[in-house]
Amino acid sequence: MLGSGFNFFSIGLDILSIFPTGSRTFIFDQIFSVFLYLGTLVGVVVIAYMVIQAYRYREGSNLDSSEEDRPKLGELPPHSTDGKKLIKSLLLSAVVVIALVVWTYGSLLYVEQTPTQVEDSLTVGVEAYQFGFIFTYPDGHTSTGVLRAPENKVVILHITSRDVLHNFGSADLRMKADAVPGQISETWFIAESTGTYQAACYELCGAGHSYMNAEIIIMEDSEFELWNATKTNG
Amino acid sequence: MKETYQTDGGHSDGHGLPPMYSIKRWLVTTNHKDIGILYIITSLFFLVMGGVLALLIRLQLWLPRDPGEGILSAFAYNQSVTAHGLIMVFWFLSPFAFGFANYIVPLQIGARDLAFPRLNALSYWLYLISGILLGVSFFQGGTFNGGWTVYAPLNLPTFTPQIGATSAVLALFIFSVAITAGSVNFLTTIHRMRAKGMTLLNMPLFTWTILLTVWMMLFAFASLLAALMILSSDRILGTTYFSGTGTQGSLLWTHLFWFFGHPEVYIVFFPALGAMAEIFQTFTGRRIVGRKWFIAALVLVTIQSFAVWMHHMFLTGINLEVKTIFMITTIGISLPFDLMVFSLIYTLLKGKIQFTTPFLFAFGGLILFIIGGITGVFLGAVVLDYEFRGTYWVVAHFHYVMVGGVTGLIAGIYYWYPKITGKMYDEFIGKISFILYFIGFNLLYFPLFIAWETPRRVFTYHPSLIPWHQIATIGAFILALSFAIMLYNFYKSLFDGEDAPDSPWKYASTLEWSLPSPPPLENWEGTPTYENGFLEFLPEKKIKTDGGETIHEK
Amino acid sequence: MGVKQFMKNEQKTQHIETHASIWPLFISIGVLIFLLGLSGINTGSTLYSSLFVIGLLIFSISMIGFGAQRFQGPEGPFGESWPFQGVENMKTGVWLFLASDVVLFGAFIGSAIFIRVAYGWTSWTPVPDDVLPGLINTYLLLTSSFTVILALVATEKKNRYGAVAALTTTFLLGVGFLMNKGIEWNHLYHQGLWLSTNVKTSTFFLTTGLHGAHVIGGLVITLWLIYRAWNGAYLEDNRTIEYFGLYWHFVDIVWLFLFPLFYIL
Repeated sequence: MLGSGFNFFSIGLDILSIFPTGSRTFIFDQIFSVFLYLGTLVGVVVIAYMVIQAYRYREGSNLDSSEEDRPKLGELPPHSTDGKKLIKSLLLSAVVVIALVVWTYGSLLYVEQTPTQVEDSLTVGVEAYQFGFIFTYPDGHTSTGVLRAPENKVVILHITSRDVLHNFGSADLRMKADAVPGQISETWFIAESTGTYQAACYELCGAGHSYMNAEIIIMEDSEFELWNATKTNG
Repeated sequence: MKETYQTDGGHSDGHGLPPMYSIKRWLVTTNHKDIGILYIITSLFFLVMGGVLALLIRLQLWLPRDPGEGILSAFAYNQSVTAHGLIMVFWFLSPFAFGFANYIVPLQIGARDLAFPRLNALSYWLYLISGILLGVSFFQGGTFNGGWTVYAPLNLPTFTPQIGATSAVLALFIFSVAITAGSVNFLTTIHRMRAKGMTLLNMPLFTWTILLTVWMMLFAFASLLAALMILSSDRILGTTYFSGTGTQGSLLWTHLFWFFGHPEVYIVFFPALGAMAEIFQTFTGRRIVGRKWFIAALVLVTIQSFAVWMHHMFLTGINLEVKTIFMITTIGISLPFDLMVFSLIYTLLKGKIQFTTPFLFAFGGLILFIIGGITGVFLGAVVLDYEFRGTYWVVAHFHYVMVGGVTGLIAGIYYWYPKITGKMYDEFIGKISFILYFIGFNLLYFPLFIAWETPRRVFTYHPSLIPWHQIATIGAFILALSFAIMLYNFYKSLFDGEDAPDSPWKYASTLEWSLPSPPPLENWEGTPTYENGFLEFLPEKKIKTDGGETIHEK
Repeated sequence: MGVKQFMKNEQKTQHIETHASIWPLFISIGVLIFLLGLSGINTGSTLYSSLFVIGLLIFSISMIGFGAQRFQGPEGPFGESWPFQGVENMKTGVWLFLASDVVLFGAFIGSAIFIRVAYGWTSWTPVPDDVLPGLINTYLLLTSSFTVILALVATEKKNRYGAVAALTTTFLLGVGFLMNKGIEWNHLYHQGLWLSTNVKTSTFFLTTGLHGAHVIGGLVITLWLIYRAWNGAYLEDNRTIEYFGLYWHFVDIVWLFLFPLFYIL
């Protein structure tokens, strides 16, 4: 099946560079920029074309003011033979859209496979509840509302919910997954610099939804090791 | 089989219906034109209700709010976003479109009424009481407050205990029953009751979109009905479909809801598309380019609409293979829409375009739909969707496409206003309303793309996004003003508008424009037919039966 | 005037059309009051309970009025009717309604299957410990589908007593189905198994309950048909019997899916 057995990490770098890979932030920014550029271009071209043609063919301009072949009251639609231009335009737009999406598929595969492919990672459990998040580290230590992780390391998140359907996501780190009660959703991120990042719940979950946040504190490797060794529950 | 309508030329006795100025008339009528008017007026009332909720939401979002700040409490805010969505999608959009469908479709196909007139009236009254029930729900401890998508298990009494939430669910349930009855009615009518020569391919595009809309409704709303019945049972009878964590209750709801929910967005858009197609033809003076392809595209979307629903569930932990399939089907469904957009644009060429108010709204609506559609492609790329989930990118996208659809329906109301009321609306005020509408719309929704990282359904956000949210709030009030002006125009023109001719529009070709404005109760004398390739009205024939009674056979 | 008198008048006069009917409004009012009552039924308050009962009453009376009113929509022949040329309006409507009902039951059955797969298909034992009541119900319903056909045949042969007898048998078989189900459910209830007990009972009782509601609806209509057939209706025009037969066969076929799913597999 698609993806399973198709191992990106064993393919040459030249192919890798077509599909953005790396941190989630990098992937998103690259793809989003391309889409934004192309989307704006297409939108501007199409709308400009529309507006210009509407102006050119306004009643009163001298272009084709014949009364022949205009719709008449009580007529049935004639058997139309036109449509060639239409099909050409459709094919062109189909090629663009399909190419775009196929291009993103490479990055999707990369994002989906990273948790299984990467060797050195930190796995943290995330339990969402009304209205906060509890993080559980590999050694069983838990913390509420703050996730600490080292920079430049893949952090794999196993996300679930204790009550209703929540969502855990960070705009800064371009990572997000639903927190579904009774199952575990997996996602991951890699932070390329230290600092404090914001995370929040992105699915309406009750009165406290607006303030259901968490902080993700990215620390230097050594700092994280120190914290990890000396932390206590709470 | 004998026709059982009495259709003497005089129509003097009103066939048992009281006159139009009496209240009783409106309570007992089963005539499709009356019911169309009832739907239009009632749905406009719900538009105002949903719009007020939107203004409250935008006021709350003027600034990021700390707990307790702003005009709405968290509970009230959540009810507002929920009710705004429910009211606009269910109680405004489709009924508004079906007001026109009721009035116009029988005229366009040459039928005297719908197949089941009393059932039609029942659909309307059930719609009205469902809206009343929703209104009452606000006073039963608060209405539902978990978003119009009613996700589980938030929708259960453990998390949403107020009785008003149950009423809201029941209101939506009975609304869905009314819709199902309406689909049966319209399907029977459009399939069986067309005039001679009015083959399916010859039907006007508005009737086509209504036909496909009701096909989608028939099957999609059955899924919603099941979801709502099960939810009502969980809430009232204590069953545990949606609360089971070991049995994926949460995911079950998302499947049932979105199997309905995706066709639903085309259900609300299609009638607008049909109106836009007719209006483009009438005011460009050009027949729709590639009409057969347009119809094929509509049929394709109708079928494909049932195969994309999991793109609303990309983050719910479904596996990669399934995500890939739905990514493909989602991109696939954008293609017929591309074709239809191109078709409308190419219809402009070699036209003699009149920039009347209906055309301005239809043209503007197409622009808005194009912007919305392009941003939808972003959402179809799964790896981007991961980030857009639950943000204002989604909100801005669907408001552009859906309210773009509303724009098309507003074009329809200006287009058919003379036919329905017999009066011309004020063209100058109409143009003013369009300018304000277009400015307000884009001031409201475009900044939401820029501020897309704002999470949905919250009232606090990053301070850097404040200017965009404030522009949006101002835009909302300008949009609201344009609606007020539009409604004022319609009201005032009833009294001092010019009398409308049969067809105020030079290149209008469909049957309704050959009738007086407004048409008489029986629509026409004789029988409309297209059997000779163009519209004619054959005179009635009188024949005698054995019993000596005169019956009129058509 | 009473319903009987009203209907006698209708049979005497030619069908003169009006475009008027008060029943859609009254039915809707009944539904509104009923649903208002239903929303708060669990509070046990007198207000909600009264609304529930009053609404149900208004609804029922209005439905009778609706059914009794002689009202005919536009009849054919029409011009273009593809692809339903041979199927007249009422029959087309019934088929479309049934198509929607298929999707409705499909969603209920799909939900039960979804839940059972998530639970673990093989570790799920059926709720009823005894297959026999379900099996008897299957036979009862199948037979009643046959008797409906007998009723149709009787009307073709203009046999008034035959039609009434066949319809009454259908009714009795349907009542037998419901009584048998009632005994079965009572037995389960006393085992501590009811709607809210667990997710298995939830799917069992709600899905078969929805089916049971369809049976009840069908039996109400059957009573109406018996009353009309006794007065000689349907001998000239038996389409109503045919349409009811379609619905009743549908109800039967749904049971043929529910029985294996909830009793055997």
